[in-house]
Amino acid sequence: MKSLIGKQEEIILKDTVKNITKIAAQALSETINKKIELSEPRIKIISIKDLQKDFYPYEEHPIAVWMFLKNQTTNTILLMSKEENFLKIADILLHKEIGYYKGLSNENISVIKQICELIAGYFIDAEIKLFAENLEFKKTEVSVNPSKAVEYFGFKDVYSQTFLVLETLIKIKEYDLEIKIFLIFKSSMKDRIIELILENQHLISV
Amino acid sequence: MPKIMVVDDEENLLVLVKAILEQEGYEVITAENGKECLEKLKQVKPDLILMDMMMPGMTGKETLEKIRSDPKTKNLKVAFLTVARLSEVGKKDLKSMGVIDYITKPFNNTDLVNRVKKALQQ
Repeated sequence: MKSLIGKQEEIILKDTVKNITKIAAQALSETINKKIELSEPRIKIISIKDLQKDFYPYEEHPIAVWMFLKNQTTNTILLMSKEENFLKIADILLHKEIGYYKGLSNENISVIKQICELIAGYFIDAEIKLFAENLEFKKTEVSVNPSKAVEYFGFKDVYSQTFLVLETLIKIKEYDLEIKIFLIFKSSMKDRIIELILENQHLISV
Repeated sequence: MPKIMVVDDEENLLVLVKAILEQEGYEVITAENGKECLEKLKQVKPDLILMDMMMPGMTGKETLEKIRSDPKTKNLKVAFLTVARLSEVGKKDLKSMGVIDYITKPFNNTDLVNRVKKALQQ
């Protein structure tokens, strides 16, 4: 599907995602005491079929951790990476040697959820400021199937819809580790989202 | 003197916090994880629990949920020790669970003692 986003709209959305990611990355950097690098955000309107292609960029299946936010701009914040990357973060936070955890377990899954909540928390802070409303958010979910992040959370008839996807990437070079962050909205909300960003963007300056 | 339970999976930190607080005259009980904390709470009723957020198995938040769901422990004062730089929504979430303070690691000894004193007065 061709882009349905104007150049100006793309700039506004990119700048917003960049600013929020900077804040989240700084918090994560201070938490794990490592330098974090950011990639240029990507903005697109795509079908779930194309979104699913973006969900599987790795040779192995990713682990997806997401939170669903319900408000007038209902959306999902999805963090995704290879299992070994989340395990490395768990190693760091639980004071283990890198490579200590070989797979998801009861011992590390809660910490992985918690670190994702920490990162997502900064995006939620920004959404509260930008969209100026109370958000309801559901319990953090973890799955090996990232499509569930969209299907499970009731974007009805997902297969006939298109989504506004704001995607960014944070990297911890020292550990050759990256986490993709997706903010997924119904594409029909695009104009309203941009309107609200223009009204309130001064509230999330870095 | 008030009794303080310190819960952290980092042994060095447990030893350090225990030493700092005992020097101030507090009685200090330690636990290395959430499960041990809940076990010990069956025997003792601390005036304050200082708990790490990121622990293997049961995180600090999960342990706190258990504490709040038990009528015998639900009113205990809890403060978190955390390396995490929390978002505003993260702070609100902790407040809604009755967390009275969150002390960011690494901390300064004097600050820790002052925060503990303040937490005990609340």
